[in-house]
Amino acid sequence: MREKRISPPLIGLLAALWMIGVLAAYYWYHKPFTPELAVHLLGLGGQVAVSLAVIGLAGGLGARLAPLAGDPPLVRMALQAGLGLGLLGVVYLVLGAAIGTAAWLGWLLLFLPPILLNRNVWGWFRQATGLVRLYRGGGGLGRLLAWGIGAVLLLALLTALAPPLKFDSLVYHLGLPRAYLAMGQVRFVPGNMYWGMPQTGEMLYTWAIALAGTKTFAVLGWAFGVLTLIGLAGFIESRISARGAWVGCAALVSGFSLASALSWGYIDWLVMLFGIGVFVRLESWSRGRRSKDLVLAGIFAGFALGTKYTAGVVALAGIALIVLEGFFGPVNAPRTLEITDPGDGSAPAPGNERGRPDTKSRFPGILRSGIVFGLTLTLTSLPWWLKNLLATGNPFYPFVFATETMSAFRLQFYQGLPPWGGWENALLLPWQATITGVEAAAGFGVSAGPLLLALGGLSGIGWRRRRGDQQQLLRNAWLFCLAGWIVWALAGRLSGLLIQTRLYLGLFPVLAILAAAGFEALERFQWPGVRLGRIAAIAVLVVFGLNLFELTGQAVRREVPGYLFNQVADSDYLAQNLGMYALAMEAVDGLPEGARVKMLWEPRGAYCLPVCEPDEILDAWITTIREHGYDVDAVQEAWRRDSFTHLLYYASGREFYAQDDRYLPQDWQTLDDLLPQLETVADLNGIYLLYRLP
Amino acid sequence: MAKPAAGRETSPAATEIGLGLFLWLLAVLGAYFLYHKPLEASQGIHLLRMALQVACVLGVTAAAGGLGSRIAPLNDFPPLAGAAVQAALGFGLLALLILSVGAVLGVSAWAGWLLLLGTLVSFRSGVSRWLSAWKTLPAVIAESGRFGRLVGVALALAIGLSLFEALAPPLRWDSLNYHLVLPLAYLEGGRVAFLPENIFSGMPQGGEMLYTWSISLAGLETAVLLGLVFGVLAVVGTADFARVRFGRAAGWAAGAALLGGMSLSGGLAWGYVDWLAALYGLGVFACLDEWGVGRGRRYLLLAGALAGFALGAKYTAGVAALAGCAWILLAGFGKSDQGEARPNTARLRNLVVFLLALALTSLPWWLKNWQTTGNPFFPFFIPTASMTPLRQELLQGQAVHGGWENALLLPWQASVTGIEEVQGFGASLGPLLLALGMLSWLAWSAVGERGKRTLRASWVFGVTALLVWAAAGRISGLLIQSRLYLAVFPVFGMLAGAGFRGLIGVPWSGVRLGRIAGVMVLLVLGLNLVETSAGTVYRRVPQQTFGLESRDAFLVHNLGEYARAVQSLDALPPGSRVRMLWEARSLYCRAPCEADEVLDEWIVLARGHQYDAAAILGAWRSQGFTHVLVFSHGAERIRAGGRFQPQDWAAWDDVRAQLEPAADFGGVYHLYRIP
Repeated sequence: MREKRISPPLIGLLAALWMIGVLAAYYWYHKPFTPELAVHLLGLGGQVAVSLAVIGLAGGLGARLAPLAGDPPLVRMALQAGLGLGLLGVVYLVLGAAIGTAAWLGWLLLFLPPILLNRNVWGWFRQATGLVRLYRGGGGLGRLLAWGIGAVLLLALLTALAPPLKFDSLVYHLGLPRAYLAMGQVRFVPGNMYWGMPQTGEMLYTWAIALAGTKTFAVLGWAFGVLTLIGLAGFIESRISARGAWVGCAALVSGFSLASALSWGYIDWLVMLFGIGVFVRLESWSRGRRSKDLVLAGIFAGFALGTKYTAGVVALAGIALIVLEGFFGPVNAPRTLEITDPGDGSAPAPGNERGRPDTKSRFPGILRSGIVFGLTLTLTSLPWWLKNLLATGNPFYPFVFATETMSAFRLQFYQGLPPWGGWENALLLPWQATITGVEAAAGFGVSAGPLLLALGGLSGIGWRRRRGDQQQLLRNAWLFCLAGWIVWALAGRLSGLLIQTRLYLGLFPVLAILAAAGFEALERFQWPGVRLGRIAAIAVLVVFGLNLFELTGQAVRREVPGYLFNQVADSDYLAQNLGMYALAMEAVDGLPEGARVKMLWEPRGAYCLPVCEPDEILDAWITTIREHGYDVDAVQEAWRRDSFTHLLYYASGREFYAQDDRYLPQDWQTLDDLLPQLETVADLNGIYLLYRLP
Repeated sequence: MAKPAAGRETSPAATEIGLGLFLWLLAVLGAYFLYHKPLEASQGIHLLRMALQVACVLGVTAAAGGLGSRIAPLNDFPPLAGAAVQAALGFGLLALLILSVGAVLGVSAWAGWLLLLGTLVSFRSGVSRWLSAWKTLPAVIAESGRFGRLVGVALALAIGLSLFEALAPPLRWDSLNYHLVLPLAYLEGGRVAFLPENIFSGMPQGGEMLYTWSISLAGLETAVLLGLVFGVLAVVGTADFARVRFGRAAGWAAGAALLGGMSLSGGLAWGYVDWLAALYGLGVFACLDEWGVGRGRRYLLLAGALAGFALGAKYTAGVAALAGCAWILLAGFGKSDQGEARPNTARLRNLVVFLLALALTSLPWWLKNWQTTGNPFFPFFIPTASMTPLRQELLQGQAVHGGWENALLLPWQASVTGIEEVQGFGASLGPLLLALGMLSWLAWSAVGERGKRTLRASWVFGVTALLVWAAAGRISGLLIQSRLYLAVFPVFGMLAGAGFRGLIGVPWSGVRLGRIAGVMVLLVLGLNLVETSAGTVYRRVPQQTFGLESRDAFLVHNLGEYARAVQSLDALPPGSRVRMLWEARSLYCRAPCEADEVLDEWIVLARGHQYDAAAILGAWRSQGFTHVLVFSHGAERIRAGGRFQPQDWAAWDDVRAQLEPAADFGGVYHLYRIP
């Protein structure tokens, strides 16, 4: 064979041209997708990119402010992002209130800081390489779970890219951002009392929506979950084992509610991110007694409280940990317990003996620590109290004090829900919440998965054989959870609303740490002839697999795949999943310019704002009718005065409250007198009725 | 990373504590799932059924592999390619066994299970050896670079999508027409027999025999799953062969080229026999390639046997045999390993050996036709009672598609202008077979002596196949279809792999051409994945997989009024029998029905009865038909196309006027009662 007759560069050029030519000709004849699908997919990609950019900026900002050099890379990654997100939430509150919520401001905020933080942002992203080591170190079970967790996250991301459906999002997590964007400014929304809740999450969501549209907020919410899992996995890997890290994460997302919530656009995963920040820093403080850790723990606790009132449980648990650790912890800041370089795979320093308690001498130190923690917590949550104080005169709006928009009657109506169930729900809280808690059902309302309880309950096994630092970790985790348990149990006895598991998710990453420890203990336990670790591994895989199946089934049932491939339109997707509500929103959307709709027994207003005013705590009728002494004409006059032109009446919602003894027969009678006087614009199978006000 | 400080926990009370821990786990999980049902009972049954189907197909494949391994150890082959060829050999033999036993003793579920268990037990050492060959797969993946792993993930996703498609009720035309209709008819009749009402029962049925077996084990979808396995074996075998001969990147590129087109990757889940033909084609090529380097006549015999199996699966798979003949003749022109010219007699002797083996393994199909119809090549060439000259003319007389450019520029035309379900080539093959395959000459200086021999054999095979394809395409418009020649596509895949290998070695002023080609390969795979995923979602396969939608709803969504029409037949009174007109698909009929399998029923009937409506109705009645199901839209389309004479349609109008309307399915299908 004679070679080199044609010069190699020419061959290369011809070969490249040939391939390009064939591919171009082929795709000229075979369009792999329509232009509409391409635009749709690009839009979805844009939402993911914007969310990643927000997270990257938060991570870079956190990295600049808190290098956290002693922490493992993955923990650092999560905590720095958490810190950045908390700060950016407050920054956006200030900017949004002072300047506005215009898209240009959002883009400016997204692109200006990274110019200054360029190295920090890229450095922050690079820490994700720690996941590769975590994957490799996880063994067969770890790798299987890693793929499974990857599948859960992918599924959640795809679901998050579809229009939001979940109740609280449509009421306020999305409803408030849309209201701000419609008003062009972050300011008081009198028609939605949830405005008074702290809104770190909602601020970030407003920003994300301003950048890339409504659905971006749920993708950002998904990213909060990813960061939490990264931080959790990194922490467990450094303190227990890589295998335990995967089991811990799997335990957390093996519950249908938690895994599903990754796509809801709620703020609970953000609370969990802050929750793990609080615990990791306090745990570090317990080993090194460094004030910096206390300050950071306080900041994270403040951010948690600034995201959700009930996330204050992590602050209370933190205080309990500070007090008890202060009294019974090691003497004189025993830095020997510090895990100096847990990320490199080397064995950590052994633990030391704990000192004897000396209450009197320790008290000033405890007080000082408590003040540092409490002060930073207060400072970081202060903007939210100030916001409420300035807008309503009540820093704790909509709770505690009556205000103009939250009358004493409304306060009583909202808070006066009797405790759910008996004392067994308080005394056996972990069992009851896990076993009897079912997603979207009354009571605990969350399917948390069985692994946190099943494995976490065994975290004490093999105690004596654990290293000192592990013993201290477990002691701290137990204290943290025990304090949380007590708060949860007591709160649950105060109001039926406060028993909900979702309100205390800030504690759950710590429960996952206990689950990982329990699994590791089972693996080491020798039961002659039986490999208990293998049984536990199978149990973990079965539980995780069933949950993954359920999640996938739900996504398929909701037509998420069809939506992603642009085969199901937004309106069809909403109609498929929200039924008549979606059609009611379409009816409202079809009203003439200038229409304004009062809603009764329908709190979900995200899809009709700012045209509508939802019945956010389902008290609009009872409040209005009693205020106007059951005078139908006065009620209509009041609505007209408030510029309402239409009424959207959710008949099934009314049916739900028919047996509620807070309503009197004349409340219903007046409604029955009123409705026939109104002109029906649309009747959606008698479920929703849209009326024109005369 | 922290490590456990101590070993396993031990204590005197370990048993009691261990039991306690175990019970705790059990109690929490038990109590949890009592309150939280992760799936409905019907979903559980659906999942178990799918698992059984997958298990059965794996069992059938292992049995075939074990049998093949026992007969032909193929130690000189690359391990995975060897396993694929062994399975092909086993499939071929088992198909013949099912034909003979099924025709003589019958077919049934218990016989299917007996055959499965009997084969697995009888050839257990072969099965074990065959299974152990697959242990090399993780090592192959592990030694792959980033490109290989990415291609591997993309191929796994494509195969995974096809798996879900295969587990859903089959939808494709030919399956609903004969690939799955014939097996069901055999099982219903309890015997493999000639079915005069379906001319396709005269086609060789190597694939349909295996489908009959798998359906008897676990239901209809099992056959489609087995079809998927044929394809996976062909792709893996081709990739492994290319990997060993041309280098590891070539292997991945070969696999990518084979599954880079929508028709090829989608075709994995159609329940057709094309991928079985491709598997046999791979075997023919691989064995002749080994024979070509002086490995002895047993490879020639094996190649002939596999070529016979290919012909026994599909008439047009004979292209592999023709390509094999060309290689046998041309390989003989070279000098032997000892440097001596081979005599002509030796070449002819080799050809005879190859053809003898081919004849032996394909003979049962000719015999079957000869015995049942008097025409060994039924339904072609010689008229018979059920295949009159008019019918043959209608079937074979399709006008040639396109001009001479389709023959002269065949690879370009087939790849670039061939589009799935569009007349002509009728398949979207993907661009990689052409783009990379045509550059295979670049690999000549990059591969070793063994690789060069394989490259030479690939060229001879490829060119011969293209010549046959081009010539056949000029004879009939039907014969231009790409799908008919899938038996030689593994060779095209290998050429694509070689082309990729060649590109890696081309120096181009600092530009890494291999990397550009790699990006292109991944782009093509990615685009194909998007397209096939969108199709899967559109067909509502996920809903079917998760048991969220009924089988009937799935069929209605995908087959429209046709599904409604055939589902409605179960409301007909007992004893009803339905004649279909202009509708060839009878798979989902819920009453005894006879499809219009090549859409010539009306013409043959009308002309056979001199357009006499009363005689036509009488003929139907005498055949036991009580109803006529008409695909009205189809008839109108054919009528508008002016294919038949006006009096054919006038007679139809007369007859239709005398039929009693029984149901109207959106104006698309009409069901009539025969008065």
